[in-house]
Amino acid sequence: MTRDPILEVCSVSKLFNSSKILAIDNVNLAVERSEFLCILGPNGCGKTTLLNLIAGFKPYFPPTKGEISMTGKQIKGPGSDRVMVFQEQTLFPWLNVQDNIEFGLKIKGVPKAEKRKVSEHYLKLMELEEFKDKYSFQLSGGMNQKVELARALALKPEILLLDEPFAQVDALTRLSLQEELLRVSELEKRTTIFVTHSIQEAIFLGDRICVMTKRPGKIKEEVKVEFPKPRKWANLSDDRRFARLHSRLLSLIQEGAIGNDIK
Amino acid sequence: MISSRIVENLKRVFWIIFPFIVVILIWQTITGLKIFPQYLFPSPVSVLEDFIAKAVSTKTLLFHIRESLIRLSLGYAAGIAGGLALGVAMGLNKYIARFFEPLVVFTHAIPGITWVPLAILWFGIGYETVTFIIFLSVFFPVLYGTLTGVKTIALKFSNVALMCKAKKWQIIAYVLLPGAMPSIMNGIRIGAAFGWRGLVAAEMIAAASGIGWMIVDARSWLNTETVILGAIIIGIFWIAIERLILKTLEAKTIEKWGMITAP
Repeated sequence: MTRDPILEVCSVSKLFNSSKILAIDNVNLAVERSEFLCILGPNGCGKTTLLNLIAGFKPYFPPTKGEISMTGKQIKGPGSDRVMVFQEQTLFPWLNVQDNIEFGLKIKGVPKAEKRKVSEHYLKLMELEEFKDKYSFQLSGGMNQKVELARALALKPEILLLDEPFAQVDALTRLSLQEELLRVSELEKRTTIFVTHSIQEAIFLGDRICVMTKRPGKIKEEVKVEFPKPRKWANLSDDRRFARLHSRLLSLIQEGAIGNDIK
Repeated sequence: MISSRIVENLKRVFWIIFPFIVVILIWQTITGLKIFPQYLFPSPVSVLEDFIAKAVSTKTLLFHIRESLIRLSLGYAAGIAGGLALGVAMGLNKYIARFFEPLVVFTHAIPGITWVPLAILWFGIGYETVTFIIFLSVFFPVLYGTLTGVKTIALKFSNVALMCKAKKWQIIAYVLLPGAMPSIMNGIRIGAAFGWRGLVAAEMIAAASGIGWMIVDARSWLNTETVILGAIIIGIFWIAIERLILKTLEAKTIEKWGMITAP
């Protein structure tokens, strides 16, 4: 199916030794370059575990079984080729917006002028210019997530990993952040893996959706989303095909959940 | 608007000074009643005269203050640097933590003043001994503050740094130390107060100059005015250290970053 995968997850399982929980079981996944992949599943289905495994973070990494590789090379830990935006707020409180965006570049030793250029670009792209001197506690939740996104993009990762980045913001802000993310991701053509438990969000954003079942997490089905991009909520929300896809995904999730409960 | 702010500030200053004025007036009244002999209970006026004599005519007061402040700065600098270094090391490495913990608990239990005789034997009377006592007073609170701060800093912040491929020193300098700042500041605050007391106490026993020594020396000559003057100077200088240095440091760091709420 996928011809030039940038990321391959081969038969990966993760058993947490301390709690003896098998979080994900024999997951196979290939992500194509420039693809926007959504991983959809209920809470506790192991989607965050999968994302953290790809990011290379302890205590998720390494997988108990299987292998994860980027452009053919096995990954050995965290790296700036796979940058994650977390569900919770992770902006450094001691840096202002601009310095937060420049953080990764500073670590890499990028010269100051270059750093400024990159951060100015993303401040502009995310419409954050007037907030560049503000600190995280002075911003709203949605604004904070925009800065998180800008910080991740400034590192120019091969793959952007998003772990329910909009879960903590209110519903209206979420819609506008989703449109914004789509706009930027279309512009940059950056490979993205987006984890969510919201069916609408997955349909709206994804080129493809992997539905995960409850623990131990497995990928139950892959669904292509055929809506052309750029997408707008105004055009999609009363599209019949949207509703049909929604109910199909919902039944997939529910089957998975029930199946597991009986077992 | 501006005038109301001036009034606000004047009010604040008034409420700092007013209680002292009341105490001084009561003090002056009691000495005026001549219940106690003047050489044991001098009046505020005679203390002021003593101050003028020492500060303006002979300048001995300035000499003693300078001596004390130099020792204080050396002790503070060494104590803060040492506490930060060992705190970070113990916070990051469990073997270092295991090794030093019992030693730290043991040493911390010994009151600062207990070290004075030993310090006199080692270093003699003067700078080294006093500075050593201040160092000990500052070292432990800063150590504990740093240790707690480093240990409780959220994993998410370190993960962001790891994602950028930060080196160990970069994680320490750019993430752990600023992140641990609220707790470090708390340690510095406690340490600075202990250190200030330690300074005066140590100078009383183990120095031939400084405010502490000035007080002890004045007692042996029955210069009660100077004893009281010394006590007042200790109080005023502590207020200055607290307001000008500690408060400013807090305002420029953790308060500005929203890590504590401004009073």
